[in-house]
Amino acid sequence: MAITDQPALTPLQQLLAEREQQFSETGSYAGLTGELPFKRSDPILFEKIFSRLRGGLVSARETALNISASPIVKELGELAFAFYTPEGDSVALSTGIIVHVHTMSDVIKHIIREGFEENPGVNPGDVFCNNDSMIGDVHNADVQTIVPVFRGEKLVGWVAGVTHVIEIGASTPGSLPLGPISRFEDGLDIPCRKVGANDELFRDHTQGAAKGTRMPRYWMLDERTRLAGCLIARDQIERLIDDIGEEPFGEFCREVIEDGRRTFRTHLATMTVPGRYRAPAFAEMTLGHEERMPTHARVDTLMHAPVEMRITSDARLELDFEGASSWGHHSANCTPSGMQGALWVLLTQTVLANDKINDGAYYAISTNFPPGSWSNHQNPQASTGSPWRFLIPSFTGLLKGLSTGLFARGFLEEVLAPYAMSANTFQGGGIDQYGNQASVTNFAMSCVGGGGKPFADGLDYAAAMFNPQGDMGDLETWEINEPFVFLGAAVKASTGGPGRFRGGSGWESLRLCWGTPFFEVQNMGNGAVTMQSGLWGGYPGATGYRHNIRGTDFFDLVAERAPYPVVDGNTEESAMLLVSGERDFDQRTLTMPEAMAEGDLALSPFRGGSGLGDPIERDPQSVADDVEGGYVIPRLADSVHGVVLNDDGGVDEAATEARRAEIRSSRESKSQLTTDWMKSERERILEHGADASGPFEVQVQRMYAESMRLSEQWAGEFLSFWDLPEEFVFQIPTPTVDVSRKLIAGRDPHELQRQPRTEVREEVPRPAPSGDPAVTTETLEALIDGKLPDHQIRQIQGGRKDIERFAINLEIVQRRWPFPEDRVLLPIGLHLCIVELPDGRRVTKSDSGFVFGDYRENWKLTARVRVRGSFEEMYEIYPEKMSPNPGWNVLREYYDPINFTLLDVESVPPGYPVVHDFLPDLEGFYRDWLGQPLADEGSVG
Amino acid sequence: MSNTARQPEVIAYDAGGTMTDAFIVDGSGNFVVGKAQTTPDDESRGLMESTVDALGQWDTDTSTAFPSIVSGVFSGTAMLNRLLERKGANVGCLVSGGLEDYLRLERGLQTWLGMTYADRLHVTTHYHNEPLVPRKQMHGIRGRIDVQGREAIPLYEDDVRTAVESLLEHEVDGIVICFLQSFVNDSHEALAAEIARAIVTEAGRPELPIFVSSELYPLRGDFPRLNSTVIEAYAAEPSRHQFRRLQDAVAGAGAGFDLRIMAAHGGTIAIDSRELARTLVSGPIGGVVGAGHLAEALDINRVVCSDIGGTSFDLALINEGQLAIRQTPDIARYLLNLPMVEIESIGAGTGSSVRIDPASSRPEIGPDSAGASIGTAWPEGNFETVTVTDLNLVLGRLNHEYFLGGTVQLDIERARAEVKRQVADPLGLDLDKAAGGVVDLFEEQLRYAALARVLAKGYSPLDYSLFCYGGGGPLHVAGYTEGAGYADVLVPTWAAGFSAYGCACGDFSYRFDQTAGIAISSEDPAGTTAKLDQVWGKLKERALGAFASSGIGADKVQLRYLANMQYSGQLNDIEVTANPDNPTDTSELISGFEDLYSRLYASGAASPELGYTITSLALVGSADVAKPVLPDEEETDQPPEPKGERPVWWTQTEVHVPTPVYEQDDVRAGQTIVGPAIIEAPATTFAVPPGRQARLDRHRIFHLSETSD
Repeated sequence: MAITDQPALTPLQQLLAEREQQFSETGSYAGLTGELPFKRSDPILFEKIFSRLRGGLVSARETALNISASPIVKELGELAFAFYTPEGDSVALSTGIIVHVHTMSDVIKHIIREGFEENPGVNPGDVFCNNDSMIGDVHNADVQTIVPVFRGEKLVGWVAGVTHVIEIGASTPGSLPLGPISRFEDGLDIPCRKVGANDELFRDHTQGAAKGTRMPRYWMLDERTRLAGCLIARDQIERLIDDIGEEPFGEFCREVIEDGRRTFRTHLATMTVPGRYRAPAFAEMTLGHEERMPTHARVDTLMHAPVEMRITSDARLELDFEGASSWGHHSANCTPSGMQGALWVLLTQTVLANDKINDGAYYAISTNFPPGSWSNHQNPQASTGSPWRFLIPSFTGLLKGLSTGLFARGFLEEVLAPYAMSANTFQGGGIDQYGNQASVTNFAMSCVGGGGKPFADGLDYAAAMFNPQGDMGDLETWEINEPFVFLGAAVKASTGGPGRFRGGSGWESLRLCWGTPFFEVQNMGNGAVTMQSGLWGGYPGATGYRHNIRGTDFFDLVAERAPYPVVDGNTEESAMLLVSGERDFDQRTLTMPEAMAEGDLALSPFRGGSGLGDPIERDPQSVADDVEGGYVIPRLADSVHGVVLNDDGGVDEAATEARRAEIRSSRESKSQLTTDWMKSERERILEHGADASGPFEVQVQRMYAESMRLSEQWAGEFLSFWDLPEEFVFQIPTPTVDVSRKLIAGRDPHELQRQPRTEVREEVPRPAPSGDPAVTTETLEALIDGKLPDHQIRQIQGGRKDIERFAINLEIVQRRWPFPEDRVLLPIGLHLCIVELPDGRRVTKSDSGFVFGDYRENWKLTARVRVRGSFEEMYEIYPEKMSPNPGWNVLREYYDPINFTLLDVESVPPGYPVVHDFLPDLEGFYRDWLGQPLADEGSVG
Repeated sequence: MSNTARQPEVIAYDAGGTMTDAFIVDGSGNFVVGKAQTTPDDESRGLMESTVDALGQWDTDTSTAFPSIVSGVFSGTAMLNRLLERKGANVGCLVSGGLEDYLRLERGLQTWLGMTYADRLHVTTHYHNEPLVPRKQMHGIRGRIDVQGREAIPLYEDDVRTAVESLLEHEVDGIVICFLQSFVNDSHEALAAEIARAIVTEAGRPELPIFVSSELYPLRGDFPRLNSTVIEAYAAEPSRHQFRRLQDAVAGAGAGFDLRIMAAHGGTIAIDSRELARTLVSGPIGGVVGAGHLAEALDINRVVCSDIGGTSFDLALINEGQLAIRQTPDIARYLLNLPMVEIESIGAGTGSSVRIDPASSRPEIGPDSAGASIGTAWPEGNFETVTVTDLNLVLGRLNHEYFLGGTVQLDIERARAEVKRQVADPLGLDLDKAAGGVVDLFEEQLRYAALARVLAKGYSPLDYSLFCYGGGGPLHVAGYTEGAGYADVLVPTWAAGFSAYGCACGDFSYRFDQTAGIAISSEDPAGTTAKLDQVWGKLKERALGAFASSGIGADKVQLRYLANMQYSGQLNDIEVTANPDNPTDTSELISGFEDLYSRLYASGAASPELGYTITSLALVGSADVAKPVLPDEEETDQPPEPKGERPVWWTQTEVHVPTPVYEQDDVRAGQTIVGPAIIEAPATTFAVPPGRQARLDRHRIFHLSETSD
């Protein structure tokens, strides 16, 4: 090969460059602007090919999962297969962990960009493997197998499969290691390599990989699962190409991606409102007391995810994490690929569920994951062993934003308050009951509580953010893998966030260590912060805690046939107190693995989703039912819901009414005008001086300092919100920020973000009215009033989303609005609307009649606020040991100043600026999206 | 056509939600189908009315005919409906301490089981089942057996006493006992059952049934085992009384036979069988059993069974003459451990609604369906969405004047207008092209679903014949087999009544399964053999015992030995049929396993270095019963005579072309109908497109093939 200054591009590199250029110039995938010729001329064939392609991937998945030994794969479905174009864009994918629809696209593009075609070569029958999150993955435990599809000499696409392996050989056992503080401890590392040829794996790879994990058998069978699935899918795709021809197939693939892009925009234009949505989220890493960590990693970290979602006036989605805190010496750092994964998994469960899923939507979305932050660490040495610890909390913000938009458009059936954290998880390793080396991550965490809905409680203990098809598996199957016997698994009271509709409940399981000479177990949960927020006055779900006992008298109890605990139950009357021993019963929920011996007890309390609406508006009978059913501890029926129960558990209606009135008046006395409170909070911020002195705890100060040092923009907003002097800083060291600055200095910001960009603006897609709305006024009113039978709700949820919905909903809201002289323009919460007053002003107003002011201003500033900043106040809402730690996380309650209805609860660290949840582009929406321009403001009156 | 010489020998019933079919076969294999409305309050009335209807067609009655009948089989939906409608017995449960919430927690997957691809992703649609047993009647009993069968915590016997006493106060109809790991070591369940038995006897209720999971369904998987045992108590046991009523009704009419019930494993079992929940799903099984019988009679080894009804397309495979079995099927959103004929159901049938998604202009078929309301062509049905049937009417493939034999008046113009408005206009296509295109898409989905099953088994379609039945099957069979390359495509003329026919074909057979966990040891082959002998011996005892209670001796029972095997450590296993003469020969079992495995998963997935484990053993015992024989007619060389002609739109022609129409009863064995053609019968319509032909063989089965020229 001749040496030239400009190495010639390989054919795939040329293709990739061409695609990126086409997108940048036209804003469309593969430059497909205008009508899609294939789809236009033969819409039926187009659909047939898609259903066959997807069918092939689904059946490959269903077949291959039987090969695995891992309950995570076989029972819980943690695997997925997808098909990609030659240049690496996903065309279709199976069910499963759809997180990976785009991660593997990044890997294929890496293969192309790095010139693998020339060395080590890309040939028919080759097998590639990757688990490197810097290249394209979430974390090492998600292992990917990639196989090219050829027709003769020509590469026509790629099939890729991923499984979540149960053990990855990290510095601590399991698949979500929370021990690593650098990538060198993340375990087995395969940074995109060729690992096989002629459809067979290389022996040096299989042998080397088997040595890299604690559970080689699981690794080996998972690898065979992925390869077999890829080969099965490849065969079916080859057959499909034989049937329809290579050219039409290629044309189909390009069109179906562009079609996916357009459909996504049409969904946004049908179901949301343009504007800015904000919903920050927080997570903790509590390693400050962990003596086994090196000093630089022995810190408490508060992660800041300042999630801002924008829906542009031309119906694209922008997701912006500007102001995110820095990466850290822990395992929860993320890469853009991982962030994309989390974004996908959420979109496909919500606005995209009913349609084609592929990389099309990726091209309709743009993201900002700030380099140097935890969301895009850019540090070749940082660990990404367990990024879900941050991903899961941070994407609650996206869900909140989407729900706000969906509600405003009248799609109530899709609105969800945020889901729960998947914790506390049981993870560990040692010697199992057969005497073998073993390690386990119990994926029962894929069943936690879902968020409340505007007409019903959240789904109890059945799904997880990362997998809508959650399952806890059979206990008898887990007992094959763990040297523990289950003592019980039960509903956990008061885990779901209180609200008019509560969050889905969590549950707990208790294990007895049994039949092992040595096994160490790690606690993985959140105890300091709630992670998620509630919606419209609903509270976030409770935090986690730990309750483990070592050196117990368990078998003494058994010998006497005395009752032993089967679960922990109400933390205020903990059943586990029946057992004596060395007890860890606190909210330090993240620990390094600690050895357990026969007779020791380990608790896994799984969390509940967040609530929706003011809890004192909850139907009192539902509260009574929840107490009776063990979903709420009795004490909280009164303090949270104002429901007074009789001795027989029934509702005392008169007393309840009185109690609720009392709560409203106590809200009045305990709250103040938000702007007044802001003055005192500002003073507290200003108290922070040299050497981290001041009222905020160190981790809170560090979080602010990191965000402000990494983002001038965010620092500017913080300073201006609190009206602080320009020179104000939190004087606390942020060593990782300095590393980041060096790492990203001089690098191309575009390349750091990795996502293709376009400046092209498009017309807003305006789907034609169906003429036959899927939901009538009558049905929608029944849904709003909670009177629609469940099967009909599901029909609506799975049904068509048509453009008529907005008008149908708006008519209902207007008719019910207590002030007929107002024109309702946009519903933005259960009690709040943007209305046009008779004098022509457009304001945010509550149904009590309170006018909060111009709709572009944050209504919370003119509301009344109460800040819960002590444990005592937290215990009015949560059981003891299940509340946020006010040093990390306060609850700010915003009330209607007329009737003291709770309108919103912010779950944020002290000193956080008041969140402006939603700033709609109201004029643009009416003008460009609805085609019904509003008159000039004020001209009406 | 009177024939007083007929000697009915076999009778089979299929009691569906609306109609009960009686299928009666005489000694020469001739059969007749009688129909009556199902009478859910007392099924015996519908049963007898359909019998009278059938026998009337042969000019005879029950008192004359019943004494000659030697075999009677029943299948119905009453038990399933009892479960779906939550009208079962008042049950109490004893579960391992701490698992009292098990039916509330369920398994997460029960919140999305059976949903479409889209809904499975769409988390807000997921929901929990209402528990079959109220929480107050779920009692935890402390004590634990571990995964290896060791006692980790002894049984707290006092917990049992307190629980049973409480359940007696709640006046339960039955008590379920299901403890963790009881299939490995049943001592805790047995002890609990003994204590419970003593207490209920003392309380004067000795007849109160106690359902013990390790006795009934001793397979690994605590949740499916609990579900199966609870459903046994909740839905199956109450049905036993109903079955007895049916038995009394036929006996009262002069029958000397014992009515048997079609069971999920594809055989029929006696009403007094201990494990009656096996009959939870019986109707759909019938069709597959019938296909199996047909395959045996025609000497076909591998069959794709396809059944189209109004709401679904059901697929099953027959391999080497055996029905494929699923160990842990799900029925009505419950995960069960009753081995069941593997039937894959796709939510698309002739009544499925057709919509165009406004965001993506994508045609969507189903998942909802018009049910009995047909479609927009039947204004009285009040179903406003276009269905597949509407499209078929527009295309002329269905005759709007001969729907259900002309008993229903359809408005073809309304169908045309609605198809245009709801489907053609949004797609931007003309009426016929849109209707034809969506039917093509429908058939393509079915075609692919069927092919995928074959390919997933590692076979090619050439290895399989496809059987088509169900009321809607013949209309679409040409479409969903086109170009697929099956060895043969068979459409019996009695396709519409095939489920009841299948019931009449059911073997009298029991299947028993037991989790075994036997690692095949090369160091101790004798030890392995002994373990196999022990488990199979126990299963054999159960099977022979079951037959003995129906008065059938061991000499009349054939045994089939099955082993579920895996590479050690895997979670899935594969069913291997053992050599009946030497079932414990492990080398034969291993080679059988390897052979199947490489076929299923591509050879790269083989992992012999892990060794082999036999996870569970099964034994199927069967006894001979009379079955229908196939009709046998002289073949004619006369050409077929159409009864008329109408314009039909075919994909191949893209316009309506004059198409001859034949009455099915007039077609004679040996005749070939060359497409385009329509063959009509009151209950079904067979569409033969251009380029295809259907030859009726002497057994009155059409063989669909491509035209030779």
